[in-house]
Order: sequence, then C-alpha cells, then structure tokens
Amino acid sequence: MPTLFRFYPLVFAALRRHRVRTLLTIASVMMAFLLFGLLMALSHAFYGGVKTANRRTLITMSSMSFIESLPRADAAEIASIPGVAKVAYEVWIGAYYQHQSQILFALAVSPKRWLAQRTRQLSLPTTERTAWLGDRRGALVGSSVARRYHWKIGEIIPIRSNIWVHPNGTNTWPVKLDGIFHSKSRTLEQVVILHYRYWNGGVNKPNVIGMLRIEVHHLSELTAVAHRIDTRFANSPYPTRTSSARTFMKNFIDQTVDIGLIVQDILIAVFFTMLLVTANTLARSVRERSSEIAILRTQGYSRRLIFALILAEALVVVLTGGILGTLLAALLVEGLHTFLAEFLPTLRLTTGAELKGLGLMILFACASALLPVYQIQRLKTADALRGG
Amino acid sequence: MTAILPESTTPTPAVDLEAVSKSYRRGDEIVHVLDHFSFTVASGDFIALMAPSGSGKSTLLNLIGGLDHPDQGRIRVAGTELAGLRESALTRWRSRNIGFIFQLYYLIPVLSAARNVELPLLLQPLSRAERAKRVEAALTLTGLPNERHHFRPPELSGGQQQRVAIARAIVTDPPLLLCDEPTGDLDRAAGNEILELLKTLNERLHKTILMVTHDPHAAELAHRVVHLEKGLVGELRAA
Ligand SMILES: Nc1ncnc2c1ncn2[C@@H]1O[C@H](COP(=O)(O)OP(=O)(O)O)[C@@H](O)[C@H]1O
Ligand SMILES: [Mg+2]
Repeated sequence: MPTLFRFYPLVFAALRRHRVRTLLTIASVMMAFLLFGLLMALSHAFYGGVKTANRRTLITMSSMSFIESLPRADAAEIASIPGVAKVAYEVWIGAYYQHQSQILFALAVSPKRWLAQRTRQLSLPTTERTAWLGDRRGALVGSSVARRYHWKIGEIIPIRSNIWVHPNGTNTWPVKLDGIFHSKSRTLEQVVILHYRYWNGGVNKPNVIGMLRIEVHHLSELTAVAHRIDTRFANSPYPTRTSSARTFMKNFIDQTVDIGLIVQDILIAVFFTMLLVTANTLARSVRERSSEIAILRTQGYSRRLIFALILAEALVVVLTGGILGTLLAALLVEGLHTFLAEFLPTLRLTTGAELKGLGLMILFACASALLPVYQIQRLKTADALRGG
Repeated sequence: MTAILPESTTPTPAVDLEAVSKSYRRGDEIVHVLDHFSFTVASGDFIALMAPSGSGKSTLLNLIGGLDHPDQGRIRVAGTELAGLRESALTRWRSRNIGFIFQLYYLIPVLSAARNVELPLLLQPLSRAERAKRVEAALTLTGLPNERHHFRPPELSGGQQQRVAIARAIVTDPPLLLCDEPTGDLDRAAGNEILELLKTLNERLHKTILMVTHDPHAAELAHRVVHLEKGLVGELRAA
C-alpha cells in the first residue's frame, strides 16, 4: 500500500472545488475553537488554582459566611489538635493603592509560617527575606504588582483598606517594601503581604483572623482532622467550617458563578453546530462528486482508500480551522491577561487545554466523515457512471 | 492464472461470458437486462457493439469490468474467473487489467490533465519521476499537444478531454479497454479522431477493445460489429 501522502492532489482537489465553501467551513471551525480556547482560559482563570492547591492543606473559616472572622486564639487551639502539623493564619485587608480602583490583593499573615508553606512556590533573595522577617512594618510583594506600580525596594507604600480602620477612623497602613518575589503562580505574583502583628496593632477590632491554613501530618487523615477541628468549635460563639484547600477553592468559585456549567453548555452548543456545518459540507461535496469517486473505483481505488481520502479532507479542514482558532485564542488571552491581571490572575490557555483542543479536532474530523463514509458505502459505482 | 488444458489450442479469450443473467428491480416489476447471455472476445480483438438505448450495453461492460455482479452465469476475463475474487482482490485486479473509457470522460475538473492521468499510477509503487515519465508517454501517445498536458479539463476541447481520459485508461497498460460510447458527446471530426486513436491502440499496443457505440464510422474501423436489436438475450458467440 503506497503512502497516503502521495494522494494529496486528490484531497486538495476536493477542497478547491468550492473554495468559498471550504473557506467558510474553515472559518466556522476556527470560530468554534477560538471560543473553545477563550472559554478554557476563562475556566482556568477560575479553577486553575484548584489543581495547584496543596493537597495536604485544610482551610478553616467561619461557618457563618466568608466575610465573618474568627478569634486569633483559635490558631493555638487548632495546633494542639491531633494530626495537625502546622497552622498559619491570615486576614484579608481589602486594600487599595491611592485609588479605590487600584485594588491590591493584600493579606496580613503570620510571616514565618506563611513563607514556610510556600518555599517551593516563591523565589525571593535571602537578604530580602531576612529583612522582611525582621521588619514588622515591612511588606513583601509579587513582582507583578511591583512592576505595575513601579515600586522599588525600600519605598514606603501607603496601603489603605476598604474594610478596616484605625481606632481614630483613618484607614492607611504605611509599609516599607522589603522584598519582591517571583512565582510561577500568577495568583502569588499579585499579592501584597503584611505582618499580622503590624496590622493587628493598628486596627480598631484586634485579634481577629479571616482564615487558617492547616497542614496535616498524613494525607489520609485530611477529612478526619477537618472533622475534629469543626467539632471542637461547634458549640463556641464562632463555629468553623473546614475543608480541603481544593474543595474550598472550588466551592468558593461555584458559589460566585458556576463557570464550569456555563462553559460546558456553550461548548456543547458550539461544537454541535460546528459538527453539523462540517459534516453537511463534506456530505454535500461527496454527493456532488459521486461520479468522480466512481471513476476512482474503476481505476482500482478501494473503498477503504477513498474513506481515508475523505477523512484526510475532513482533517485538513478541521485542523486548519482549529489550529488557527486556537492560535487566535492564545493571542487574545495573552492580550486580555495584561488588562485583566488584577481580576483574573490565572487567565491562561494551558498546554493541557491546547492538547484537549487538538484531540477534539481529530474527534470532530472523524465524526464529520461518518456520514460521507456511509454515502460511499452505498454508492454503486456502475450507477454513478450511468450519466450518458 | 489458469492452467492450460491439453486440448486448448486457441489462446485464452480476453473476455468469455457464459449464460450470464442480470436483472434489475424497478418498483414492482423485474427488468431482465441480460438473459443467459454468452459472448466471447478474442485477445487482440476490436469489437463495436451496437444496440438500442436501454438494451443493457453499459450493464454488460460493468459486469466485465467487475463493477457489478451477475445474477447467474460465469464471467472470465483473460482467464480469471471474476466470481472467485473478493471485493478487495477484484479492485486490485481491475487496476491492472481494465481501462475504462466513458462518454462523459469523468475527469476531475480542478486537476491538470497530467494529474488526472497520474491517478491510477498512484496505486502502484512507482517513484514520482517514474510516474511523470509514464504520464507523459501516455498523453503523447494519445496525441494531446505537449503544451496542453498541464491544462485543466475545462480548458480543453471535448476531443482533447477524451484523449486525456484515454491516456488515463492506458497509463497502467491494461490489456483490455472497455469503452462506453466514447464518441457519444463529440462532433463527427473529433469522434473520428478518437476512433482512429482507439484503432491505433489496438494495432500498435495490441489492446483488446470492446466498444459500445452508435457511431456509424465505428463499423469501418472495428474488426467486428455486433448488432443487437432487442436486448442482449441468448447466444452471441457466432455473431
Ligand atoms: N441500477 C439499476 N436499477 C434499475 N434499472 C437499471 C439499473 N441499471 C440499469 N437499469 C436498467 O437496465 C436497462 C439497461 O441499462 P443499460 O445497461 O444502461 O443500457 P444501455 O447502456 O444499453 O443504454 C435499462 O432499462 C435501465 O433502465
Ligand atoms: Mg449505456
């Protein structure tokens, strides 16, 4: 059996017959995969963090609501619960820089533990690290934020809060920029980190925390430990809800908007339409070419070879449109990311999504070739040539 | 290959039909197109088959070329019993043994003449250069002017298109050509040229030709003219 590649003139002849129709089909596939790429990036923006979350980490928050806080004393109590390895706590400052529109992802944390839980995710010069740990009024920021506001090490930055105030009613916490770190996590690249003690010393309602990050000794104990924590505080004035970091992130997103479901619905509709368009185009083109296909049969072309040629035709159309659409999506996502970094730090078209797209392209090419294959199976060579 | 029997002194016929029947169902009625039809074509023969429309001429050629199967009877082409071949073997056999030529040429309009002629060669393990050589030779043999070898069918006259179709039929060098009204769509002059070309192929390349035609000029060129009045029924061996 000669290689399929030598038959390329036949494949391109089929596509050239109706150039406009072929281009329109490619365009519709392109639009479908452009949308696919954008939605995958959006989905990653929302759920991307879920997968990277440490599997051994539990998140404890108030069971009342996201914005309710917990007493700081809980941290010490949780540390004594069997199975708990490390406890870190943090509070969301709801900060901005200069203008309310320039939102900062600022957290006040227990510095040593916060760093300890992220050593592998951060790259931070030792000198800056030491400086920050020793400077109560110091701040550590992701390089992405530093770049956006042109902050330099040593600079004093007036961080203001939308939520918290000083006893005198003002809301500014000036901090000294001690360190700038880099991270592969686009979320971390966006954060501003303060010492909890500094923030706590100035706030009108001290000794509250937003949430606790707990590492367990053994992954197998994750749910048991979570249960122990919640039982301990069940009858306190501040009952807790503890979940794995992954579940926590996913629930948080799903409560806001069920992106997954929306993405899925849109994609099903789009791909179904695209499949109809390509399958119909291919079926029409095969019907119009029935005498050409029959003449190939008289020359000794097997049905199987003709199927392969039709499949190749479908692959050329779907891969051309699909790859163009994916490239366009990648470009658009990169462009959008520079504008939306504050809101959607993990907006990104991942290699995984691109591979998923490629798989879909091949699947759709095969699916759209099904009807033509059936047509050819039924085509009687002798009848197709009875034109005269 | 069939064994040569001791008593066989004459060479194996190119085509040998024995009591072949073929009928089609049209609605409730059954149309008997061929009814116990027997027919022999000697190797190297050039036969013109003339019969009214609808009498089953195309059906006959399709059966001989293995594009269709008889209800009854045996068909042997160059000694090969077609009923003994499975679909895939029949397809391979066809690519080496039969060249089809049709009234409507059936060229692929967006491919050049040379590309059209190359199509049957793509099935063979030949290099690109070897294919190009054979395509040139076939097109030159049919008399298509050199500068038109890379024209597309719509840029060629009817006679030239039929030359391209003939080149495509002979490029794999099959011993038997089945022609279904090859001049049916051409004017007198062009038709005559095509008939002369077929005669040349018969004489110089020893192609066996079975041609269905309404063309009166065909009678003068063919070795044998077979007239059929009422459909292809019964014995034709001695026509
Ligand atoms: N697939 C088919 N189904 C039904 N009838 C057919 C079919 N093919 C051919 N016929 C009928 O068989 C007869 C012979 O057809 P054909 O071989 O094309 O004749 P010719 O080539 O001599 O004009 C015609 O009456 C035609 O209508
Ligand atoms: Mg006919």
